Amino acid sequence: MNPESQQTRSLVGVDRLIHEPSRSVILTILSVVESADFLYLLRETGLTKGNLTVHLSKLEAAGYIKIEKTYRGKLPLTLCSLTEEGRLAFENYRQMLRDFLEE
Amino acid sequence: MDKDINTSQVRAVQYWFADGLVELGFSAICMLLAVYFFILQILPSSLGGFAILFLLVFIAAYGIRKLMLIYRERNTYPRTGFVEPHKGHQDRRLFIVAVAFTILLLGGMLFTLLRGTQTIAWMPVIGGILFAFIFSLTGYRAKLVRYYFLAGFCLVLGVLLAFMGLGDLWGAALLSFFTGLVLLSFGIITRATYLHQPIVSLEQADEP
Repeated sequence: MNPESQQTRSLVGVDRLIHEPSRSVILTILSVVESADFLYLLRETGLTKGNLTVHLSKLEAAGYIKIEKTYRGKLPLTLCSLTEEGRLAFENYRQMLRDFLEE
Repeated sequence: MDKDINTSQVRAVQYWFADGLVELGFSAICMLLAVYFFILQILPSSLGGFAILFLLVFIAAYGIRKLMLIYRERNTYPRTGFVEPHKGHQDRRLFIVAVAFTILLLGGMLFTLLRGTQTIAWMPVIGGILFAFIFSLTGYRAKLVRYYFLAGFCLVLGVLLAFMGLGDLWGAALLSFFTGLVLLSFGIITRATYLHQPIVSLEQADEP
C-alpha cells in the first residue's frame, strides 16, 4: 500500500461521532473544564436547543459525556461533563487529525 | 481544525475572566493589602501584630472570594451559563514552580520587613515581582493580554517605589493601592462589556 492511501485510510478510521463539527465543539469545550451547563454550550455552539439536546444525547449514549440534571436554588441546571472514555476518544481523535495534517 | 479546537478551548478557559469579577475581587484584595501595610506603618512594629493582621487580611480575602462566587452564581451563570473550571492542577510542574516562587518571595518580604532600615526599600520590588508573576501566569494560562500589561505595570511600579525612598511599608502600601486601582478599572471595563452582550435565554423559543 502506498503512503498516500495509508494516510487516507487513517482518516477514514476517525471517530465519526466526534468528527461531526457541533459534537467536536462540545467535546472541545468539555475537555478543558470540569463541567459546563446547557446554557453555556448553547451560547458557544450557536445551536438551537433541540439540536444541542440531540447531539448531547448521542454523546451520552456513546458514553463520552455524563449529563446530570440538578437545581441551583430554584433554577434547573443541566450539567455536562466529559467521561474518561470521552476524554480518551477525544484525545485520540485530535491526535489522528494532527497526524493526518502533518503528514 | 486543530486551530479551531484550540480557540474553543481557550474561550472556555477565558470564561472564568469574562465577567470582570476576578479583577474586581483581586482589586478588593489589593486594597485590603494597602490598608494592611498602612496600618503596619502607623502601628508600633511587633511580630504578633504583623501575624494577626496578616491572618485578618487572609480571612477577608477568603471572604471576598466566597462573595465573588455567590455573586457569579446569581448574576453570571443565569445570564451566560455555568462553567466549573478543572478541579486540581492540570499542570503540576507549573503549580510547584508557582508555589515555590510565592513562598520564596513572601519569605524575602518578611525578611526585609524584620531587618529594619536599609538604603533601598526592597519590599515594593519583591511585591512587584510577586504581582507580576501572578499576573503573567494568569495571562499565560488564559491567553489574556491585559494580564501581561498588569504584570509589566506592577514590576515597573515596584522598582520605581523602591528607588523613591518611601520605605518598605509605604512602598508596599502604594504598590498594592495602585495595583488595586488599575485592577478596579480593568474590572469595571470588563464587567461593562460583559453586561452589554446579548443574552441567550433558555426561555426563548427554540426555532425562529
